[in-house]
Amino acid sequence: MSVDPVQGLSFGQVLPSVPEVVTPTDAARRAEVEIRGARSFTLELVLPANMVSASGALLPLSFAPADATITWLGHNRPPKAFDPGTPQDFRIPKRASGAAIHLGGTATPDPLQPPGSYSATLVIIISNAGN
Amino acid sequence: MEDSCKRMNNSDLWDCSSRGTPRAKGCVASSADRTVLRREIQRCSSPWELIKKMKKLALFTLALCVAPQLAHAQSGSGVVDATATVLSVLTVTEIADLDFGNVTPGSPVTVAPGGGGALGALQIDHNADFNVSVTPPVTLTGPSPGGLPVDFLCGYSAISSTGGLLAAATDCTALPTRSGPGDGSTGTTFLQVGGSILGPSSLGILPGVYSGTMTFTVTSTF
Repeated sequence: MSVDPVQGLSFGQVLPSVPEVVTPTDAARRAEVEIRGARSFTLELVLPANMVSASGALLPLSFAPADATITWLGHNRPPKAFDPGTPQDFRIPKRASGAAIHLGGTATPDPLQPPGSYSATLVIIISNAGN
Repeated sequence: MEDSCKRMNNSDLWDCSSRGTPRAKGCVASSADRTVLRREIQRCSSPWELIKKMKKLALFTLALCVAPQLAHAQSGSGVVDATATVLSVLTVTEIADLDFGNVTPGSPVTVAPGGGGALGALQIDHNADFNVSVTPPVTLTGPSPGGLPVDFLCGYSAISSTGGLLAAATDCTALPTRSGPGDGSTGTTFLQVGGSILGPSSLGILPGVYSGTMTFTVTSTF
């Protein structure tokens, strides 16, 4: 079984006091992780509440119940939305070669948000994987 | 009791080994022995004993079912980053041009940053650190073919376009990084531009208006 990061969640340039939303359908900016080699598994996301700058300033980060989707690779079944804040059990269809997890989110800069680059680490945990 | 029940079955009716007789096919127990054996078989076939046997069978079956799952159960993890760049506030507004005024040939003229006078000035509103770069002209252009040589000096003021400097004036190409407020709020810094024209530099210069342009590039740093 493999858990392969494809791309991170990128909010790009944001302005103080202007929330920035990335949806799971935003192919250019959403986070994406591929899971292969398991037919069923439990998915848990560890999501930080803030992004952090080099100077330690915090930029609030939040995830709504529909900010995550799972798509079956090589299968025409439509993506299924799920709450990224709750562990989920999935069973991959037989004809699918794996699954892609897409994750969006919202960055909410404060009106006095110090300028600069912010980042955070999102952890995807797969457990109970079976064949 | 359990052991005896485990071994007991109908074939024991015809098995004489338990009585010390060599096991052999066709061995027939006595009538009395068979009666004892039948009772034992009945006891061992009671519901409680059957339940015990079924429990053991169930546990064994469960173990067989679970074992492959445990052998193949896996876990793993991956990480991705979330990133954002909060843009800085940075506006640059021209306040005044530097004016040396009338220059008497042979007499030096100085307009000193921080000292008032006809300083050139830019107002820079910013909420982050910034750097300034400029390539000042060596001469002001005018009637004389070689122009009017000039040296420029610059400095930052937090007060006004002509007020006191935060540090001593310096060559305009060597301005230090100016710090932002640090708390996300927007502050104002005035960049004052002065300079000097040495006395000998103006000797033999044709009268007229001399001018030049300085383009300052202000860049936010994080």
